[in-house]
Amino acid sequence: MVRVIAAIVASALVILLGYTVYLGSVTDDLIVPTNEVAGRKAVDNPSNNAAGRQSIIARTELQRWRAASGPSPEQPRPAAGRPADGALKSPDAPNIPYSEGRAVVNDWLSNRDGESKMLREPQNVSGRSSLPGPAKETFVQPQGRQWRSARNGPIAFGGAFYLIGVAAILAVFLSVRGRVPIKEGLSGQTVSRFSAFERANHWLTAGSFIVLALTGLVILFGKDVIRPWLGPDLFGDLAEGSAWLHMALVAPLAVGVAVMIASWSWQNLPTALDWKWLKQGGGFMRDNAPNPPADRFNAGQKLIFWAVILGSIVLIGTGLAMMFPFLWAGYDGMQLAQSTHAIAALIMIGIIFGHIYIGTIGMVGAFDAIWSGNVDRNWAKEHHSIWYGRLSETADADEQKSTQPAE
Amino acid sequence: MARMKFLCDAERCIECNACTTVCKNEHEVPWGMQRRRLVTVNDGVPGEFSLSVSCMHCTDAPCIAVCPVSCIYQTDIGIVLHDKDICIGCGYCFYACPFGAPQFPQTSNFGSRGKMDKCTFCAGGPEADGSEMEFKKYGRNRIAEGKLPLCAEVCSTRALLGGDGDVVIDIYKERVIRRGYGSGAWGWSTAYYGPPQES
Repeated sequence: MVRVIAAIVASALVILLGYTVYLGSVTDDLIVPTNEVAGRKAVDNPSNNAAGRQSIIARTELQRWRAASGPSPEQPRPAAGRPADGALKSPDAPNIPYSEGRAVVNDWLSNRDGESKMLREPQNVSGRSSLPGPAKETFVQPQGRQWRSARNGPIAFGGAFYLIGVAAILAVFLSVRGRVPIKEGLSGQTVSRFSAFERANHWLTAGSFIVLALTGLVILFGKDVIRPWLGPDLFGDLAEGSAWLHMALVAPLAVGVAVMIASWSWQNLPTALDWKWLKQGGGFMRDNAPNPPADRFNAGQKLIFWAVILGSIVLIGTGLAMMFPFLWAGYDGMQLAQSTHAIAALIMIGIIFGHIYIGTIGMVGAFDAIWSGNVDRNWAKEHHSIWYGRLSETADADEQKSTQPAE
Repeated sequence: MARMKFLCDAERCIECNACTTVCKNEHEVPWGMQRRRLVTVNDGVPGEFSLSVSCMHCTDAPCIAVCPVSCIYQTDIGIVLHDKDICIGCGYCFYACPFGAPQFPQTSNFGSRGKMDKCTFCAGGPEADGSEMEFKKYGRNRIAEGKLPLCAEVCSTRALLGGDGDVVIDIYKERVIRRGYGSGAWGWSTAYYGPPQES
């Protein structure tokens, strides 16, 4: 049953993946005039008629050489700049359809050749400004356009492709493999695996990460995915709430990760066993494959652990840089911080997809470890044989000690 | 087809700051925000020149492209405007803007920087033209009155030109020919023609 549902989900995700590739290939990241906030009522635009435009052009002519534009003793007083009655009234200016806007932009861009002698090569120009504030001394930073292209192109489409792709791979794996069973079945007896403190800290970190991921995705993809459904105002509120939550949850994530480093990192140091475990694929692939031995954390869990630690440090670092813009970094630094933050976050979300998968639907008995803290003895024996062995030894020793008569 | 543009003639700008002052006054821009500012390049050394800069109302505007809530838009005469009711103050437009035009009431904190404010080419915003609400949020709407941006109209040396791009570049060309030298239209290739085209 699970495998049938997984197969259906997998095919839906593959179709979605194809659609993402299609969108990535046809989307032209060019801004065209719309005369309105997309999705809002068209606004009245005084220049949206020929007479209004003519009066603006005539007014611009007044900036010519003063002898030509007047007022001067030799020249008549100019009539320009006084629009005829009604010239600026255009109450219900229609918004511009994309094709028309596209034509307008092409027209603007076509002037390049005529003006090429007047243009300077795009370059970063900085000086000093007497006005206070960050980045005021920069006149132009053309790399802003590159940052924009990276964010709207490879990061947005690559990120969507990667996330849907990871989900699709997991769904395909589930439909082919099914849930990883406990070979000897449930024993009915449990052993304690994670203390209440460890579990509480896991869920603190996990809860903040999930909300951070969702709110971050709203900021990156919401405009194209959610905004058309919610409308500009409601989506504006959602995005504002997302930005706030995203910022506020830095604190719990940082605390959770710090406690994780303190309590789990020594148990996650790589050992020779990990290589063996990885070579055998953890024994997940087939029912009859032997489970490689593992201590309290196997190689897969160690990889997740270090990915979370490293990823969180990068994300918190770049996130703090964005929370205090231009405090530590200039334009290049801010742009690099944002791009790094987005890329690292997308990679992390994909990794966490895998973590959530194997911890819940992917493997029978795994979720108990982090939820109730007690796992089935057979599960512990199969997946963490060394840890289980040590645990039963000490348990036996405890038992012996307690049965010895007191002297 | 009119297309609004700004051009600052570096040979003429005397760094008097009339444009920045008059802009703040006309639109009652709050303390700490500058819709227009002056940048002096090579200050105190030979080759010094000053440039007045604000939103250039770019073609293919990067701020519109990166806004996560699509609150920025462009009119068919090229003016880039935005809706403060939707803006979330994330500051991405500032990273993308080649000219540092977007301004925020607060200097810190993604998500709590307040509503973005920037030069509107004296064209107000999405509120009804000339309404009190429009003035409060976006400042004066001079375009609806048939006037051009005050910064350009007030410039005593006519260094700052604003208005229809064809006329503006024609005035500038005429000047360059007349005086026999020029410094090129600063920022124009980035603002109005985007990244270099493959040829």
